[in-house]
Amino acid sequence: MRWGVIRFPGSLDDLDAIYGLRDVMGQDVQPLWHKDEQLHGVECVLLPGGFSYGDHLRCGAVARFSPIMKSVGKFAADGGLVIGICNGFQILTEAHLLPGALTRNRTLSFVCERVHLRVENAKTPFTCTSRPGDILTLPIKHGEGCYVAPESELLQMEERGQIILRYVDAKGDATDAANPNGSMRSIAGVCNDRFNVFGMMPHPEHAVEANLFGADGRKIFESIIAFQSVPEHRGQLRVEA
Amino acid sequence: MRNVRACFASSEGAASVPDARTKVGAMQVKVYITPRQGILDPQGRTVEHALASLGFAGVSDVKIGRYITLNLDAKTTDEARASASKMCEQLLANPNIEDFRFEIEGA
Repeated sequence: MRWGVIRFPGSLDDLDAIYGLRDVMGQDVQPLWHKDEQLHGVECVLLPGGFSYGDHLRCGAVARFSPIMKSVGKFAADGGLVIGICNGFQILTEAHLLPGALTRNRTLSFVCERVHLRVENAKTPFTCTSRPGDILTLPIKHGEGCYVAPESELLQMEERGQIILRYVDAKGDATDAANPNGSMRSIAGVCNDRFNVFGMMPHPEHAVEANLFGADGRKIFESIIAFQSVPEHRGQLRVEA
Repeated sequence: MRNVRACFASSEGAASVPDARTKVGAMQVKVYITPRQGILDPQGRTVEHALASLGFAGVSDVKIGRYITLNLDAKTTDEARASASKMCEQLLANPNIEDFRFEIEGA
């Protein structure tokens, strides 16, 4: 499968994403420069973590206006698969490709730890190799990961199944103590209402090798590969919650 | 909430040659961005606690936002106001989580 990994000025995790996908998982990866308007025929666009444009103004607020984001918007409108990780998630919310916003952690501290995540909806291109209730263990590292959205929108998202991942404790309970940043409803990852755009604060690309702090991140990428390997799914979105 | 003050200070007399450094029609826009009501403002809350521990009693609802100034060439204050409003909606503020207001002053 052909992946595109965008590099914005200030992206940090693009190389880990490329390493994980290409070197560990044997995927075809096309690095994409933010000023490039071509997506070069990729089947999934990945927006990596980092500090695009130095996080100036708000995280992701400036990267949203990079030339490539027009193409990403069109690609998503046509049903193409888009995944944003950490800063990539922030960019997707700023670009209005995903609902809500990411604000300062409630502790005001940068958090860098491993967290447990519960798969809430496994009928998406990003989680289809998991089962609902599965627990993934992935690293987080962010200062602005507190997910917020208007209550009315959150209710709609719950109904449609757009809340994909929640922060939980080792037993799978979404307790306040297990919420590392104060996100509303312990939200760690969400989809748009068509389920082809996904954003998550935890880092699957930093967890692709069992001997390096676990390989649960592969489950996200393997889901996308499994989804895309079904011929009817190519270029057209058919999965619904 | 939008307080628009247009004060074209022209005490120099009408015949004065325009100075190249002060563009004709340049206005200053002052934008105030604050966390939207109901959105958690952890910075505001931390400062509120700090003020209380310093002994300032009766402090509540501390909000920490952002203040942006910019110069803008515009023919009228209406034009400047429309332009500033678009800037806020599209980039300067995130309407999901922030409220904004601005003032316009003649340069």
